[in-house]
Amino acid sequence: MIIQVEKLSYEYSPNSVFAYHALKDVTTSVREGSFTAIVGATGSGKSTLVQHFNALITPTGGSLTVDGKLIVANQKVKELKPLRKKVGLVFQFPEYQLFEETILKDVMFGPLNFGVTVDDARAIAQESLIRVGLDSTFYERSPLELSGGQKRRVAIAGILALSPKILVLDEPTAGLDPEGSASMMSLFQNLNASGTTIIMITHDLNHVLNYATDVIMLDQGVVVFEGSKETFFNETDLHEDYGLVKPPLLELRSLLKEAKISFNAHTLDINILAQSIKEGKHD
Amino acid sequence: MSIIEIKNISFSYNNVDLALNDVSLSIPQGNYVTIVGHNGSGKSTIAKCIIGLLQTSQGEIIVDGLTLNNENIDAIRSKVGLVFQNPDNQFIGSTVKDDIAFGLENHRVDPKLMDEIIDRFAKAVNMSDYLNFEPTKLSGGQKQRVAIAGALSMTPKILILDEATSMLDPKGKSEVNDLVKQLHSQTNMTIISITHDIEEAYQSDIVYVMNEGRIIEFGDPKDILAKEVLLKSIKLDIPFALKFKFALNKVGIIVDDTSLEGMVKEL
Ligand SMILES: Nc1ncnc2c1ncn2[C@@H]1O[C@H](COP(=O)(O)OP(=O)(O)OP(=O)(O)O)[C@@H](O)[C@H]1O
Ligand SMILES: Nc1ncnc2c1ncn2[C@@H]1O[C@H](COP(=O)(O)OP(=O)(O)OP(=O)(O)O)[C@@H](O)[C@H]1O
Ligand SMILES: [Mg+2]
Ligand SMILES: [Mg+2]
Repeated sequence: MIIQVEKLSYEYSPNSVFAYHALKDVTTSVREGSFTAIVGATGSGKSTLVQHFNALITPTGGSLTVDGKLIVANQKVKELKPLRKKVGLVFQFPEYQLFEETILKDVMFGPLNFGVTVDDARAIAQESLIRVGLDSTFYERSPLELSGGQKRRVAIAGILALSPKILVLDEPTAGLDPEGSASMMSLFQNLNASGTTIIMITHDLNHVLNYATDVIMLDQGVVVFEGSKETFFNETDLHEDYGLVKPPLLELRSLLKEAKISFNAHTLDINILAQSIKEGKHD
Repeated sequence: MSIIEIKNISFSYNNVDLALNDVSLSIPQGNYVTIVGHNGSGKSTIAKCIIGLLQTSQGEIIVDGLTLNNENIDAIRSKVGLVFQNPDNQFIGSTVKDDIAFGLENHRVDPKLMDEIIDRFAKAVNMSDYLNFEPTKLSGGQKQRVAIAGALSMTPKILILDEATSMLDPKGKSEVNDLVKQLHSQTNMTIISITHDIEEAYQSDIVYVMNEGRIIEFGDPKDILAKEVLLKSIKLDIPFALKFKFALNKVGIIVDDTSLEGMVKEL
């Protein structure tokens, strides 16, 4: 397990009237090399959980171990830098991650901070920007004077530039256009195939269906499911209670099943599905 | 009758590149329209021009019969509710309650009625338990719910939603959509929803398609969103139901319906 969370609790503004227990005694884990999706309703604690993974916040109870590094409640984490290099976190709101004067500088910041030379940092930044679909016309522009989807791309590029061992993404495709969303997902899939552990918060069960290997589901600060993607989708009635809705492909499969039409129930490819319906008709 | 009439507007942030390039559109009163387009195609810029937050370099904007100019800007803003793409850019109050109240005060709502209105809309978006919380210290989806409640509570004549539900869980998203549709039918509110959700656009009365600062197509989503080659060439996609329909066509099965339920019945 690359991340092991043990009885972790997190309380916002403890000892005040606004005290709020966002995570309650959470025990869960993330497999090394997995593509783990974290799902759950609005306010269930997803963003709070993942902010622990690079010690942006630390538990108010319990502990976690991230790639061998133990983080315990009420104890200042020493030597954060190696952890920050290892675990890259892309925020839910990209604005809070952008601060340099130009986009190129913004993406170079991470590598420079970890001791890469200016020339190398520039090359890494340019490469990262290309991967998120931003060409050289963007380099000298301000990262804050962009459209919503463009800001998200810069924020993702900034984290990619660190080549983290664990990439944590908080709703990375929210606000991206359909092509941007698809190409970002295949970028994450490629990184995963070459060994990066991916942890992704999403409300889009299509992405879970197509890309994830494992799923963790939260509800009101508690883990209510953890296991393989296959198990997750087979226990389908789980979804609606927790704010989720079936992806259209699974909706279609249920409709076909109800109508007693035979089809290939294993494919994720709509053309193969259609072909199997045609073949079924001749039987 | 058109409630919003935009005639040949252009806009540039830097006096070089045109974020909007000769855009015209005419939105019929009481319609639910969607605007789709790639990142950076100019969608949010249009929304900001309509409420006069950005000033166009040429062209004309007429909202509910009033031409947008210095004289009419306040009157126009009182007719239009805009939910920004990033809800944090919208919050003024230090609590959820104050935040909604602030908007109502601006709209000169009778203070005696305020509490009831605030409670009703907070409840409608499921945020009743958070009235005394700081809006900026909420989860992403909760922020979006509060921003939507704030805009809806003023029951504007025109509601512009700029990716306002992009971070809601699917159930929350459909609850908010139902709420919006309910207000839409009760008050004949005109809704303009900017979205990347092609399935949502498929449900609207009219869809506008933007590409590089221009509106390149508009009309009935059943026709427009079937243009697979065109949409893919501008970074968009077609609804799932149409993907299934086309996949069936490819293997020689012809169906007429455009909904999944309907197509499965025909099989
Ligand atoms: N800065 C904060 N101060 C106080 N409470 C907070 C803060 N951030 C989040 N919370 C509360 O903690 C709970 C969990 O929030 P979190 O952001 O982890 O949810 P989430 O699962 O990421 O939701 P979403 O899908 O809406 O982004 C929520 O009830 C929220 O109101
Ligand atoms: N404040 C700004 N200063 C300079 N240029 C800007 C600013 N905001 C947006 N732009 C540019 O104007 C163009 C249109 O941006 P706009 O925000 O309208 O796009 P959008 O269609 O809303 O995109 P998205 O789907 O990413 O939200 C983009 O090329 C963008 O980079
Ligand atoms: Mg969140
Ligand atoms: Mg926008």
